[in-house]
Amino acid sequence: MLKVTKLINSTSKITFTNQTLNRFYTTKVTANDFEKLVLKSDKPVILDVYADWCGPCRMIAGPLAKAVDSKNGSMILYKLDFDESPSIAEKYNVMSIPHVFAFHKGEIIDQFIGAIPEPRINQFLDNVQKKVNTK
Amino acid sequence: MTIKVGDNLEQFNTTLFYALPEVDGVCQMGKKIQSNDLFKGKKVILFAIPGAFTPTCSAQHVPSYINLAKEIKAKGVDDVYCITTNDPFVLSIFETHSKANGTVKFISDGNSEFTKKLGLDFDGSVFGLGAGRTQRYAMIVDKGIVTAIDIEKPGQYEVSSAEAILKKL
Repeated sequence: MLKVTKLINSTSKITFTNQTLNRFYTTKVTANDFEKLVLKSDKPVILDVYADWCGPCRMIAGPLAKAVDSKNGSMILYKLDFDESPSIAEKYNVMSIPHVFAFHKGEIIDQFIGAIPEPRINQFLDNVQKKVNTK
Repeated sequence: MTIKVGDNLEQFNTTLFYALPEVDGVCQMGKKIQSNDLFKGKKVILFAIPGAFTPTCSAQHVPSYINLAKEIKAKGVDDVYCITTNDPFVLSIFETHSKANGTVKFISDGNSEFTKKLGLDFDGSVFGLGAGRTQRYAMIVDKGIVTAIDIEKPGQYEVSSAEAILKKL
């Protein structure tokens, strides 16, 4: 009897670590899979709301991916395209981008707006981890 | 049909965008609001300019309201709104450029919906502005009811200035 112990999701996160380039691939969520991937996630989710045309969003994408990756799988990073999924952006009152949320058990536990510098991104993730651990 | 004194703006409820001021490292999307939220329970001035960065609008109309903001608010006005048919991205930069610093709030009627409902649109094609632009006007709205409205004649700038409205408050 075959027992399926692990369900491989077609949108599962893939991380490429290139020694010379250090490039990360972040999975995109949309309104269709938002509930499943973000709200019902066991691990805390860092959600990066961005738009293709937004310069500051591009600036923060790499550092954010690197910072989440350094947390060794304790949190997941997803990105949401504001233009593609405006209903989700509106639901969470996104008025400026980049807007980064930390979701845990379906609730927003922290967030920040704008292309903040790398040390502050790391500080944000540390705070998220603290909040998750004290719950 | 053009809006007049005594009309209730609630019947023209439209989705508008509230332009957010420029902030470093951030792309402002503007905040989607309902026009009714602008007028509910307060006394406001709504003045309209045909286009951000156009000469009279930038040089005289908007500055008049910024300069007299204190006097206007002292007469019991809660908010001063500047509405145009520009998109919220243009208005965000215009707000920074105008140095309003919160004294005047900029509202984008990008699809000209609200403006057309009030019967206050005009065709600016001859100036390269296109159709659906808002005429220049100023109105006093008290809890959603228009208590005064002054629509500028084309090309003029007299009755819709802050100085003129101040006399009516």
